[in-house]
Amino acid sequence: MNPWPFVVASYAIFFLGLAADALVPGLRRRRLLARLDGRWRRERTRLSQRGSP
Amino acid sequence: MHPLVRWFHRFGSPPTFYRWAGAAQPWLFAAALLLGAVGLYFGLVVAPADYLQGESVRILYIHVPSAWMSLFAYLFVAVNAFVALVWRIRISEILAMAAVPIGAMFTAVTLASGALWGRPTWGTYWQWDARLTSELVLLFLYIGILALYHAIEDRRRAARAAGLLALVGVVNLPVIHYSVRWWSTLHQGESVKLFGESSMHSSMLWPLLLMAAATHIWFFASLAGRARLALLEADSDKAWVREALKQSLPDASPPHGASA
Repeated sequence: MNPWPFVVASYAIFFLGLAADALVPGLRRRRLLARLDGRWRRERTRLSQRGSP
Repeated sequence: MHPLVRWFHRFGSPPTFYRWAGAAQPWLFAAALLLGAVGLYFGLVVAPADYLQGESVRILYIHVPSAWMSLFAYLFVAVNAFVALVWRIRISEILAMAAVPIGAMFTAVTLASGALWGRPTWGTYWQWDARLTSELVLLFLYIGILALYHAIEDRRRAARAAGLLALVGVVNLPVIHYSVRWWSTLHQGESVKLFGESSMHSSMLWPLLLMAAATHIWFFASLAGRARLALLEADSDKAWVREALKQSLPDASPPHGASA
């Protein structure tokens, strides 16, 4: 049996696992920052409107 | 207060940990990638094929380090869960739960690469052998801990409940480790020993150890990122988060007269 397809598939799974492990928190962080940015922008607008005559 | 506990409290204060982990993470990732590249070069190019397994031995340079990581990550989760439960140290809760997905990933890679190694070597992808089955139980434990953690809304209660489950699951670690000695298994016994002489030739042992070092450093790099994210999510309404994100989000600094 030719072992190379099994070797290649194993390494592909290994690198996919590492890539997912590195990328998923990065994407979640971007989503969280976008959410916080929106929240703080709204808060800033509200506070500045309250301050104006 | 015990000096170790005091150090934990100081190091584990969210702003300090966030800053420290953020500075360390790129260096850790770079070291892991560099060591991994050297290890893979030696494992795939320099190391000879095995006289019995042939070229499929090359799978072991990722399978064995991943298997070690699956156990190491679980031990890390359990130790931090224990510290969090006994001393109520919040950063330990965060670290324990941040390590679970990384451990689950390495366990899944172990099982998949083991199956792909088993087909050309044993003639089968899977066997209900003690080592394989206990490793599968480890994956279920990781999934169970994650599911429990996300099922409870209160993050601190969720971490405590999931930490308790992690502590119960520790019983599986010696079963995995000693399964090849306690039972007659298809899976081979250990070739690399922490104490004593390994039965592996140095041309194969060194790439394996390099890959093991790379995956361990990767674990801490990934953990740093995940723990930082968990801290941001948990403390998003706290002043230190605004302070920490001031560089990337200009609206993070509150207008004059407003409290943070």
